[in-house]
Amino acid sequence: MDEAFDPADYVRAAAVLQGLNLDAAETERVTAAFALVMRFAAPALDCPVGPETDPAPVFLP
Amino acid sequence: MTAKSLASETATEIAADIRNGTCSATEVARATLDRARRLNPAVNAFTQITADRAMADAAAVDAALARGEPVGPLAGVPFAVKNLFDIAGVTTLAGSIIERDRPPAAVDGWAVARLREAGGVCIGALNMDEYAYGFTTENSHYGPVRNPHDPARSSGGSSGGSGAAVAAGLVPLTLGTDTNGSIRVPASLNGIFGLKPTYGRLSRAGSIAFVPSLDHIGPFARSVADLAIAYDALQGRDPADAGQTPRAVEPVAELLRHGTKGLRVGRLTGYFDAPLGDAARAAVARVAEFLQAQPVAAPALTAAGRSAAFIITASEGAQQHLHHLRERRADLEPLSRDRLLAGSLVPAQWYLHAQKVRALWRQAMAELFADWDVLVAPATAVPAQPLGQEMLEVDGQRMPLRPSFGLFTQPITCIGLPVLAVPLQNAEGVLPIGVQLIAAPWREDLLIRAAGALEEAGICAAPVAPAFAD
Repeated sequence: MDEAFDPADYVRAAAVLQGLNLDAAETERVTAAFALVMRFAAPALDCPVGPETDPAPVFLP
Repeated sequence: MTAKSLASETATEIAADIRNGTCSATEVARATLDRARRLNPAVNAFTQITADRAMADAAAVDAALARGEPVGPLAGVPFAVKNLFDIAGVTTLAGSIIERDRPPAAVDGWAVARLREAGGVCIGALNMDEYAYGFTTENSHYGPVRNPHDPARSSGGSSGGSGAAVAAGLVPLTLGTDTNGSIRVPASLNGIFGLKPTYGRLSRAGSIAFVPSLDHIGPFARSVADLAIAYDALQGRDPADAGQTPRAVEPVAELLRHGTKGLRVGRLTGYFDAPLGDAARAAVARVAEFLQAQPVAAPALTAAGRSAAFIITASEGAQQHLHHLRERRADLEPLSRDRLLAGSLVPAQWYLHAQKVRALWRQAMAELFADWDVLVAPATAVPAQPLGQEMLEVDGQRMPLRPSFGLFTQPITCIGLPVLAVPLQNAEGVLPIGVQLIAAPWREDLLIRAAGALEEAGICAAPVAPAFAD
């Protein structure tokens, strides 16, 4: 993750893109929630995957 | 039939009583409704009791018996379902107030209809985390579900009402759903049996989806026999569920007492060893010892698998409710609203990356099942925790309580493996705790055999919680 990344900036911009119109208090809470998402997402995002890995649309466990 | 004797009977025993004329389905339904009305306020498991329907369905079972017609394995057995399943004539809430504005369901969902065809008598709809997004059933709209073993504690979630209703002996059988652990967590915290079958095994048609690529349905019960009979009744092809895999019905009830001879049982180590409280550690050890389980190193990808489930849940769950986030945000559950909003902002690249990690994780576990039939793992790190608690400290690790309940269940649902949660009573004082038995895809039969053996040996049992017992 880029060290310059600012979750609050991202939340503000992406929320507009999604048509969510967050107010300041919501932005603050959602930024905290997004920071938690980032924390929980890290083990998966740190796992290397390549173009050869096929997440088949047919689910066969 | 009295409400007192009814509480401790299993579904199998009730059906036998009705078939042999010891009591009628009508008497059972009336006693069950009386008991549910009287005791539900203590646990808040039901959001609606469908008395008229229950009495009509029970009368139909009695009439069929009087005519000498077959009545099914669940003849006259009362059951209830998480309120995201359609019940004809009842508005399907999914724990929300948004859905309250919708008209009542025109017909029963697939699973409800299957249990009814098997002779079951639906007596109501059960409380849950809103839209199944939670592990504690602290529902701000309909109130929290209280744990029958300690009403100050959570019954788990998101199928909290389904767990509490069975543990309190209000009904012997309930249905829930499991996306990240929502059958196994309540089963563990309420001390009952819960089965999450293979992804794609049981139709979810007629239920409100949370995360379509992770959603499963399954039963809760106080005996393995009841679980098996309900599971068998729920099998069958339903083209209405796009996620169901075409597969022949594979009954398991007859395998209940086949024992574990020849089964290769492993106990997952590494990721599944910590953080773990003493009760969970002891429960896993006891189950593993009885099943003669050998230590098996969990694949290095386990943490990434859990993480992938988290990303997929955040993203798909938010997509399901994007219109609510835009238009009815104030009506959403405060405990999950910000998480849904954050999920709607997850980049597509993260979601696609998570799907690739999921494929790798699935392959890693498939390789493990070449050498093992059943794998043992904790269901939850700790027993039920106080309602309202925000943080959890286990093994020196401090973490947010609500998501932490998915620590050991999420990696497994991520790849759709079948799991049966078995309960051990008095694991920490009066509180029970559960252990996961995990098998390869489509091998629910092995889980029933292992759970049946544990139950027969007296290691796992699910009596009605003492405060609600006869």
